[in-house]
Amino acid sequence: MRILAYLLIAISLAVGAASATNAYLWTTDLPAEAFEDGTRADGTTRYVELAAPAGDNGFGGPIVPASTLDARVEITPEVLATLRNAGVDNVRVKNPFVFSRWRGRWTFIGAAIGLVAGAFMVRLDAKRALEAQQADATGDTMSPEKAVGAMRATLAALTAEIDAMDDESARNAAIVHRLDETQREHVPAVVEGRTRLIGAMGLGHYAEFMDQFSAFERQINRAWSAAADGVNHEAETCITRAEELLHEVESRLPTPPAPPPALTTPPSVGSTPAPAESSIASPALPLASAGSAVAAESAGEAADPLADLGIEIRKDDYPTPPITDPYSVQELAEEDGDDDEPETPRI
Amino acid sequence: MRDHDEMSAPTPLDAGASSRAPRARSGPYREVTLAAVLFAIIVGVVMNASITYAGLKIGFTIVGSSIAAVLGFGFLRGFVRFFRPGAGTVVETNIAQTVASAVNTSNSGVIFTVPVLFLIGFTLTWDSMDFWLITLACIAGAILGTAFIIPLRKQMIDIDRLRFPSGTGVAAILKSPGAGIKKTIVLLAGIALSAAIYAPSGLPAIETPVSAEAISGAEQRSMAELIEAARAGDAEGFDALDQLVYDERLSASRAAFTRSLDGWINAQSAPDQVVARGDALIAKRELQKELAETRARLQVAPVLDADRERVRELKTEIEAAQTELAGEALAAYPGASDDWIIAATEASRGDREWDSLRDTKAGWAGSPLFGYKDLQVRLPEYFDGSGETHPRLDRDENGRPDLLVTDTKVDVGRWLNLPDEYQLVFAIAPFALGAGFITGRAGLMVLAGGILAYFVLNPVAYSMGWLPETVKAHEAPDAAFGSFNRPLGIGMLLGGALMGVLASLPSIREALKSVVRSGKSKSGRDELGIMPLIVAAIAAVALLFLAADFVGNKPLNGGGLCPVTAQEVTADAEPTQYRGYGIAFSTAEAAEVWASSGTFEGVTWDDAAKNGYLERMNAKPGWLADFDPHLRSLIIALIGALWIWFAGIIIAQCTGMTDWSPISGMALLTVVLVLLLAGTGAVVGAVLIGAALCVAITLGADMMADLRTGHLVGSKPARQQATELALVGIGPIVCMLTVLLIAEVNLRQTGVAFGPGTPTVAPQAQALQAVITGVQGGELPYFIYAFGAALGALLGLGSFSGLGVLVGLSVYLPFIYIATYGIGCIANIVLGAFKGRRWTEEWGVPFAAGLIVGESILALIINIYVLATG
Repeated sequence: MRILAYLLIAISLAVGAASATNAYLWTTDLPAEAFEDGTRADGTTRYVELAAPAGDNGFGGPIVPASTLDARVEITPEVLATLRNAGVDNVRVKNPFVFSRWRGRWTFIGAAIGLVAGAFMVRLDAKRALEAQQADATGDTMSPEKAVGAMRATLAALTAEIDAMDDESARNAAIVHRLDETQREHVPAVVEGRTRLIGAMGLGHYAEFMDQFSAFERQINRAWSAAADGVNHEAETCITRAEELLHEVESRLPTPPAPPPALTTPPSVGSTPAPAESSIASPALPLASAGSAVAAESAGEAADPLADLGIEIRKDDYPTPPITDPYSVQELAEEDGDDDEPETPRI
Repeated sequence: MRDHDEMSAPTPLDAGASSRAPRARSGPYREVTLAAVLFAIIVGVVMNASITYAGLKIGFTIVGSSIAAVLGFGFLRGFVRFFRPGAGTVVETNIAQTVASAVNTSNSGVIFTVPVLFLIGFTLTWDSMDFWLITLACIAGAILGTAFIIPLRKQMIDIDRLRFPSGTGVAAILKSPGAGIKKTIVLLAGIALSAAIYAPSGLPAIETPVSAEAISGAEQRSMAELIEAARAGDAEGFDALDQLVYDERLSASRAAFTRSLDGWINAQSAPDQVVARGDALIAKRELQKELAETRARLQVAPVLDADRERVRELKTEIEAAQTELAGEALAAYPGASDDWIIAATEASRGDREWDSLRDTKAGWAGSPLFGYKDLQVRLPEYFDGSGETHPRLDRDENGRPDLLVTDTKVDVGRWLNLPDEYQLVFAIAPFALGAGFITGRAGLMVLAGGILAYFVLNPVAYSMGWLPETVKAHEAPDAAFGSFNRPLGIGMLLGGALMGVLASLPSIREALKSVVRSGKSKSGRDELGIMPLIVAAIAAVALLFLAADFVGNKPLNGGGLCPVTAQEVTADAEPTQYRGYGIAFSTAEAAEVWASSGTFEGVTWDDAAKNGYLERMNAKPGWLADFDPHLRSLIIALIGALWIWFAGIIIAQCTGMTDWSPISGMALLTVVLVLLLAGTGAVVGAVLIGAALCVAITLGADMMADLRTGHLVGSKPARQQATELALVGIGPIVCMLTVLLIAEVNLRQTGVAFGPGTPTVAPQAQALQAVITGVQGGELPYFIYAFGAALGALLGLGSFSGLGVLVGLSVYLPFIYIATYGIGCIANIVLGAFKGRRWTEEWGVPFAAGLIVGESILALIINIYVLATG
């Protein structure tokens, strides 16, 4: 139905636009009186003025030139006769617009009806698609709720991870690397869930939700920039703010995400073994760092927050399972199926 | 299709990532700094002046944000960091780029409007009140545009998530150092490719004088003779001027004048007739200068009778000089401008060196640097049986098949042999390609609008006989653009935007509530708040009112002739109001005759005579004609401010969705609106409000794109907004002074400030001039605008309320840029299908950002060079 609707809209638009171009085009078949346009103070008849040159004199020039600011050319009975004799069918006139003279009036009205009908069909189809999407909540696409949950988990893991690191450069590297993924995968998943969220929340509440979400996102982005610039304290402050804002975001979701499991014993810097510190400082070390590993061991498998959210972690890729791995969230995002979503030409 | 494996695998810190492990720094996170602001102002001023010049030449401007971002990195991260470790952070560069583009951006608002005053005969000088009032109005517009964006930022960026392709591209630039070396290389590759593609497009703007040694003959051959010689195998015998003419790089008349000039220089003597004409021209210019000075004295009381008499004498003398110059004895030299003749005369009089005439400013031919045109890719030769090139291949009727590739565009339609009424021409514009790529799928709607206009409407109108019969098939796109595409497109923009606003009311309401809450909530503490918006808006409306009141209440015939006596108006008589217009007089007696409907030299100045005078001045009374003049100005200022808000939404939507801003369309509507309110004679007032609006909406759109960048890099909106609000007034001053400088140079060299015959033709101002005369003559097709608006609104009833904006935009814009932009959109979709959308975003956006930056930087460098040497 969607294709039919778009076809109807396209055809209606073309017909409507073509009809509109004729608004000031009058045929020379009209009686001479039709071109009368009132009476002057001196009692003479005023005629409709030409807006464009009319006819072709055979040498590239017009038979009758168009009116200009200085020279008004009225379509008097004599001018009309000249044009008719030369076989001119149409003349483009200046104001006034006369509805009854507009040859495209009925096609324009038809086109307008077509546009309304096409819009109705599009909306109906979008509604059905939305209902289908909501019914298929177990689908592969990453819902905004899942994405928010993944962000919560990522932030929790990141906080634990950087708490366990002494070296600021390594902390910054960890922040950049982890948040990069959040920016790339989780944030777009929330944004792309717009239609679904509006359907569930209504536009007003969606606006409130996005207001909060954007504030959260900006803190994430600022944390990334600050970490990339090597200003660790700013990055960590922003992460803390982002965590606070995420609570507000979660509270506004139509279906709050499952809370990430609490990290039972978040590793402190003091508890981090010395060898781990030195290896964290090495930029070549994987992010599944010693601090994370310690935390993971403390939390155990069952405490994996992404797993709680129904997000699969490809453990084969990790020699030591970290507490969280936001990167594997990407797999779900890849199967986002954006092409199947109700198409709104948003960018 | 899955995204790229490299991205989907859980990656530990790899070598690439490790290489970007940021060095830790202490101290506050640098954001708004003196270095960033000073740098931004300097870069903004340079960009503003050079882009103003370019915009007056080609009709559109380039966005400065990406240039400023790249330069900002170079300066802050490279230079300042040398002295201040930690300088050049991402957000500091974002502030620098925001301010620089704010100082630059006002130029499009000014150059689309202000030059129209020169075109219709007004004169602005740096010491005239009008000049500074218009500047003041532009500053007011700049503040309004920036202030109105405060709540819209939340709605468009936070809630509606418009993409702002350029803003997104700039964010990719700003993040590139932290995003790893690979992305930086991709960005640089984009910049290099873009500059390489654009170079042959932009470089021909730079001309070097043809070497005198390369000129071998005294007589210039015509194109027909050159073609004949080439066909006879004598092309080797062409000298430099012949070759330039044959390649269509130089007009035959300019080449002929250069040969003449060469002869005069060699002989150290110009023909007597040339010198005589030069003397007459110099004398006439002296008289005109004295007339202007004497007229100015008439506007200051007490007025001396001697000055009145001198004005009369000068006018007579100038008229006589004009007649003499039009006569056979002092006939114009073929192909030579008055300025060149004066230069030759000065050399003859010994006032300048003869060799100094080998300069393009003195008429000597210039040879452009290499451009695509030099490839000489032409349509294949095809004769129509008469021995002449077939007319379809030779639209300019110069005997040679037309070029398929010019410096700026590629005519694929003619290469494919499409019917002439179809236009399929691609602009050589990497920036459009990049913007299209970043826009992605939504850009297809823009392309669809262009296809509707140029592949459906125009051919149908041509084949159905709805265009004048004198219009040839290949002229149909241009004729249709003026007749109905432009009004239809602008109407659709309006209707689409209105529907968009209605659909977004909940978002706007929430955004406003959020701004009001700012400072009280966690999410709002980075916002500027509602108070600065209110204060800025009130201040700007007050400035707008002041400017409108001063300019709007100036006499209709100020500086001209008295309606009663036909003598110069003077300060002796107070102007009086009639049907919404101020009327000035030459004497108090003349004013009394007007006021009492008395008789002077047989003419009774009753209402019929007065109305006749207004009609001769093309001054129809406006809708507010019966209001007190000050109240009228206040109403116009308030309506102007409201309109700025609405137009700001339209432009922000357009740039947010597509990167295109229909500023000239909005300027056109504004001028029409003010002319309808104040009367068709209130041209200066209309242009003043139009200029303010244009500056406002361009700054609003630019600010929004910068805020989008700021959002992506985590800048605090409040800091961006406050910095911009504080500095935004610099731009209009720079731009207005540049416009004035160019006008004065043009006046000196060609006798015309802008338009045909000058290097700065000001195409958008010419379009606006046509609209003003159209409104005065009652020619504007209001109902086509209305039908377009209806279609635009109805399009928005479907799933996307702003669809009318996207489609209308491309119906209104020239297709050649939309076509190139469309290639970018399609490239995004194709690449997304093969490599995945994430990959496209990850690697395509930095590359596309590079495409935008490369062209912009090179264009800026070329503009600076041309402005400095031209």
